[in-house]
Amino acid sequence: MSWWIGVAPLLLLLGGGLLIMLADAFAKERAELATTTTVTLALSGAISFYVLLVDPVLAPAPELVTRYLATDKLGAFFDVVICLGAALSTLLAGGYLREHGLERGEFYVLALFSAFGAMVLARAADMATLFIGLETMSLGVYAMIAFRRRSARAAEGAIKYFLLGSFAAAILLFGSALVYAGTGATSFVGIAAAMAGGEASTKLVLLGLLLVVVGLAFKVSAVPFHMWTPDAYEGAPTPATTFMSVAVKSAAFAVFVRLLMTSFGDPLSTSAAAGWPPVLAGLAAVTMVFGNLAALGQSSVKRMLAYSSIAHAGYVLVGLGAAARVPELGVSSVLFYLAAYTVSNALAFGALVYAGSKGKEAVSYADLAGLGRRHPGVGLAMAVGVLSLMGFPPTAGFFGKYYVFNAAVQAGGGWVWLAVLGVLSSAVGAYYYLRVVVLMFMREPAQGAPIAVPMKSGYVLVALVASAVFVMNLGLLPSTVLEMAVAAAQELVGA
Amino acid sequence: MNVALIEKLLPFIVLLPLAGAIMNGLAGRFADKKLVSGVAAGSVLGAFAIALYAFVGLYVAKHDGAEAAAFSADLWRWFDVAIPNGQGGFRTVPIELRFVFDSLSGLMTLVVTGIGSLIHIYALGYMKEDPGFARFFAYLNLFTASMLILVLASSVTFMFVGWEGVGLCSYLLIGFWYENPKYAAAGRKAFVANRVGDFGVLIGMFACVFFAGSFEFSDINAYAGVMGASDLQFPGVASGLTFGNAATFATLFLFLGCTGKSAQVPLYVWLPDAMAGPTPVSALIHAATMVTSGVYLCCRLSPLFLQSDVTMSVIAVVGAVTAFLGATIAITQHEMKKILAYSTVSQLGFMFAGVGVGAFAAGFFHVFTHAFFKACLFLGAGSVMHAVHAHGDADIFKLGGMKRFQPLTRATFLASCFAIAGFPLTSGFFSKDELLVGAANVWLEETALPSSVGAFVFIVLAISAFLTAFYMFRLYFLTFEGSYRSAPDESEDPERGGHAPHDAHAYAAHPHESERSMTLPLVILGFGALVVGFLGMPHWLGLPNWWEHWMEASITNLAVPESESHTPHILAMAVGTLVALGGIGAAWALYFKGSGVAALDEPKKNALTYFLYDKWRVDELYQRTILGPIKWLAIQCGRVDRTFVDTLLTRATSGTAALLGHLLTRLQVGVVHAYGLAIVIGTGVLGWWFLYPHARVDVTPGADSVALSAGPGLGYEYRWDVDGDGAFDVPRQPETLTVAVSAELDQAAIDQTARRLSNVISSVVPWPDDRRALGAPLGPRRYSLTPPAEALEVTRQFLESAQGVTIEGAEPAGELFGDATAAEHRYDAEDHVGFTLVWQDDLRRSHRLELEAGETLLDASVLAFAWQPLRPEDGEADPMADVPPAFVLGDDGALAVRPNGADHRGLSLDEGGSAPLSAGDRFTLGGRPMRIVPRVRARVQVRNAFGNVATETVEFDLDPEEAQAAAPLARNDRAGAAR
Repeated sequence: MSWWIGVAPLLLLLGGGLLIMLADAFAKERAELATTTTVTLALSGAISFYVLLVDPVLAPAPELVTRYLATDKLGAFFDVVICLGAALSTLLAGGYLREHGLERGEFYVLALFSAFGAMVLARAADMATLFIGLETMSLGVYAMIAFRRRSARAAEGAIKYFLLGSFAAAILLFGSALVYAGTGATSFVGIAAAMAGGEASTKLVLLGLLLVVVGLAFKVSAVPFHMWTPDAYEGAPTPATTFMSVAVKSAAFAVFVRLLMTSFGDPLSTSAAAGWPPVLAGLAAVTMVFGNLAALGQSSVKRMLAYSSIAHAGYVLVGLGAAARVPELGVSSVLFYLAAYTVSNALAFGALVYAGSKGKEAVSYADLAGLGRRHPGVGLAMAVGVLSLMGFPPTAGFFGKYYVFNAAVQAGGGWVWLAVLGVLSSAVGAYYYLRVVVLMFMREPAQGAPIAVPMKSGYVLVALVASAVFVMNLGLLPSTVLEMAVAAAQELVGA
Repeated sequence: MNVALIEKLLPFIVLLPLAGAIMNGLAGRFADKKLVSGVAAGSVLGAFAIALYAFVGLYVAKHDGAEAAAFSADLWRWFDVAIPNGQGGFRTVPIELRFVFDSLSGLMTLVVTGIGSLIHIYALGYMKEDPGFARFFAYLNLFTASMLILVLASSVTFMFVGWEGVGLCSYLLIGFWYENPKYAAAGRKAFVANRVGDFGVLIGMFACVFFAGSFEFSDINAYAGVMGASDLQFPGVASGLTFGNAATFATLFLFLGCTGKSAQVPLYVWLPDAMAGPTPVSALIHAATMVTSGVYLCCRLSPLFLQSDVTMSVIAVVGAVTAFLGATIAITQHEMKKILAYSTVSQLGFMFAGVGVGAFAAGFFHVFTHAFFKACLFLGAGSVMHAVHAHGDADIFKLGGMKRFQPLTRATFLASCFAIAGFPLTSGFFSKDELLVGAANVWLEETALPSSVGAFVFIVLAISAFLTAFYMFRLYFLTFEGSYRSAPDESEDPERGGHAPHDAHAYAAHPHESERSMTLPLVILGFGALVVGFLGMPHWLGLPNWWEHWMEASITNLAVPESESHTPHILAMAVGTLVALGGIGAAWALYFKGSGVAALDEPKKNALTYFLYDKWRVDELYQRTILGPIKWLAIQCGRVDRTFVDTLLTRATSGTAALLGHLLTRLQVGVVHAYGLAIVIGTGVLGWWFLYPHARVDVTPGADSVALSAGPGLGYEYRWDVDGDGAFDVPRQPETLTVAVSAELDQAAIDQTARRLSNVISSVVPWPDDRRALGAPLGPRRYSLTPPAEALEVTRQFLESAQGVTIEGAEPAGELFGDATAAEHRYDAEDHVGFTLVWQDDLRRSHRLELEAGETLLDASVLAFAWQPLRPEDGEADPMADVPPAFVLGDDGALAVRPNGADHRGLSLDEGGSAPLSAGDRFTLGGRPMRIVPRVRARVQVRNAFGNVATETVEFDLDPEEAQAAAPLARNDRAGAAR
């Protein structure tokens, strides 16, 4: 089979985005845009899913392509995760935007281009591609956050994210410049070769690695580079928040995994004494604890989910750090976790979208009181979503956490303690997740308090059902996706 | 008969009721009542059919001469347990799920399924109107399945599954009408009392496997003789202390379990309360089957029980006391089921008394006959209660004359009364006779048990038998004879109709005979009550005793010498007949003759009557002595839980988490500069990690040297001081040598020496560019040179051998780092920086004590024996007299020990009372094995690409024993790391 299939998802999104932009200028019925966008994303994801599932023999791609874009299974895996997350987000947008009178075609175009950027980022094989993908993805997201033009919060969140994002991008860019200065290479493989050959300047490479790690830690919202997250998540329209929390985060982790394992996977860079694993371990510890504790204090569910997404970044970092010791296990656990997190988070945010209608949005905990009794369907979706985020068996989140912590335990040494810390802090997480369930099913709203009224939207319903099916499927039959993750991990680490 | 077929069918005896329970339990409440009935009764009937088939098979096999015939069916291996093998190790004991159908379990299976079937059929009518119809039958089927597991299990562990299962079902069924708190409490009481007993069974079970090494009944019985002969000793307890023989220990605890399940003193209190359950339950579980499982267990393990006179005597006395106690209480009670319940307690006492005097088969025979007449009595009582619409229980003083309304019930009830009273030629007569014979044998013949026990048991049983006959006929006369005392008063207002009771607690005005599904079982059971006794007719009269013969294969009875005189037999039969007739007569005289008028005035209310009516006030006693204090303790614990756990621990933890969360949220100030600052600070912290190196040393002791390795890192360089002398050795550090040239050497000789020197150096390494290496003048006739580190040694040797040249001094020339992440060194005496004392405690665990420079005093915990301070002999007080033993480490590195009166071996003391020590010495001090190991030091310095340096120093003991122990482990570690 031709190597084109490896980049076809990217091209499909690019073409689809351009077409939709054109269509938007002439079309009257906006809702079809949601369908078209979702179908484009689904198709694009399906191509990569096919590649993962069937594992066809591909002709080797020309060096001109592979120099900049990886056409491997890791890329395909993230194509699927990103397209899935983006498709669920655009489905939610289909209901949300119409309900709240925000129906404008740009959103879908932005989502498509942003997803395209995320996939380029996930497939980046060169510092230049990395930066282009990162910026393509981020620019779309900045605009999506600010989509509610009249909302001050939206503008605040967007500008904060934009400013800090530029700052972080500058740091990352400077880091890659230093790495280039130190190794004379911009491609990931070239960097690794230069380091293995001993001609690299360690000093410059170390500084560059530091700055690149900081830049990427910003994108995955690891503490203390997370501070934009709650504001941006809260200000953005909920579908955009969903997109950010799943697609953007997955893409950032994808390139994180690829860069660290490809360029800095040598024993010296991964040493416990002086390499990046201790740095990631520290970030993971702080992120897990901080994310979970700070989520406790929130009264807005959306903000709580923002902090919870920070905590989840911490769990993924545990797996990523453990990959230094147990590469195959660590990388595959990260991949599985991101897949599980994508569907769980989409479900929770989706239920939040569904629970509110114009003027009667569900935002705070109080809005959710008694919701499960009044509207059992929404309540059930929300409950499954938060239980999966909490890591309750037999949902996707349970196996995600299990594989990540298992990788940490297998890595041994200090990683075991990190796993213990992770389990403890996720026990803290149980409090705020279960609070949602308790409020929905065991409390009644206070007298006179505004009551959230669920919207009526086929799009959101489809998104909810799809995410719920994925959540349960990953929880009950995790093996298919896990095998894909393992195959991708094996290809990456060369096992 | 087809043995293979029987063995294949065997599991279905259990599985059928189990399947019924599952079907009715899960789907019963959605299903039609007829279907539920069919499943419930059908499954038990099916089990009965299989049991009957198997029984016939067994009978034929025995008839064909295979006396010890038994069928068995293996399900699967449940699990393996490891038990001590007596040599410090463990061995595996498998626990099989296996059913065994032999003469004992076969007969019991027949009883359980047969009488169970009848009671199921009866209950179909009895429970017809109950909303919990399906739930009831699910429980009842589950009970049957559990009981069958208990009976058929081949091992004590598997039996325990059934044992607990019947306990659970009993609890569920007693509290079947759980809406009534009193009934629910009765269920709890039964459960708790049984748990006390179950604890005994567990201990007994563990004792059996500990001593006999198997859970199988057959293995335990085969091993019984050894257990009876072996003194009980526990590992870890000083030898010489024994606790009787092992059999006594095991059987006493097993019997504790029996007192719980089979309602014996002191745990019988739950059974009377258990009548709160529906009457069929009382008949099946609390009369016919479950409560007799204690007797069954004793029979199953009869060889083991026979090994312990103590246990046997205890059982006999407990049984007799229970029989008496139950009978006395039953005399005064007013309610049908209460009387029957105490009667059951009493009859169970009879059985255990029989078991206790070694008449296991007789005890089990009584189980068999009792199942018929007591089930019949309970069902009859249920039939009466059903007829008069009494709920829970029926007061016999409000009944009377029931024979007019319920002729069939009355007939069967009367038959069973005769049987339980022991009226000649009824079933109870034969079985009770056998029990009395057993007691009389122990009393009058030469047996292994003390004759006083026999005498006591015989007399108490005789009295109890008299009381039994009395209270049963009191019950019968008051219920069925005379006139109906709840009949509507003729003078009543006719509008209130025939159904209006004439006082608030009276019963239905017009009782009626029960429906066929209830009377049919009554008839069968009543008939059985009359005739099943003929299975065990007295052998001494020349009659065939089928029972004794049948049970021989499974039950071992107490050996009784053959004797020509039939004194015990005659005595037993005479006494048995007399007391039965006497009891019946007394009841007739008191409650029937005066057409019951006199009887209706409750007997004189004296203290004794009250005492008996209040059931000896045992419940109150337990309440005061055991339950009260436990409840008090529970309340206190609850208080602690609320104040300490809930308030302090729970709230403190959650409060801390919430507070932290709140504080962390405050960090989110919302100002974008602050966010940027956070990024900068974060970058700074991460940068610090990369900017400074991190030194770490791993020590791997080898056979004759120690391997040291440092954590590698990007751009790291290392140097090592492996011998702890303060100077770095790896890589070799360059030195600047100051050389003085003697005045005798002329310039030509100097030049020649320099040339030869350069040749020597360049033979090791290429000549470096650095001019200092060659040497630079420091003044007249003094030079300094810095040879490359690799060539330092040859340079020194050359200079020392060269004429007219002397090395004045050497100084470090600078820092040289290398890329050696590992170093290896063999330490010798000069490298030691100190000593460590290694000593072992009683459990052979090693402890370490670092010996400091100066004195290290040992405290008593290090010394095994109490240390005796020295007693100065010459009267002059020795200042060191009460100072404990000490190790003295001098500044010169010399080590000595001063035992100061502590017991020691392997030390040679000098005049000062101390002994010099050196590394590797072994000795005993205060009873503890001790040795001295040297301590050494190593240091690594790491420099990273930024030129920052980190130093790490490790001190470790050179312990060859540890090295040996750790060696395989360390290899694994390394192998693991390599992967």
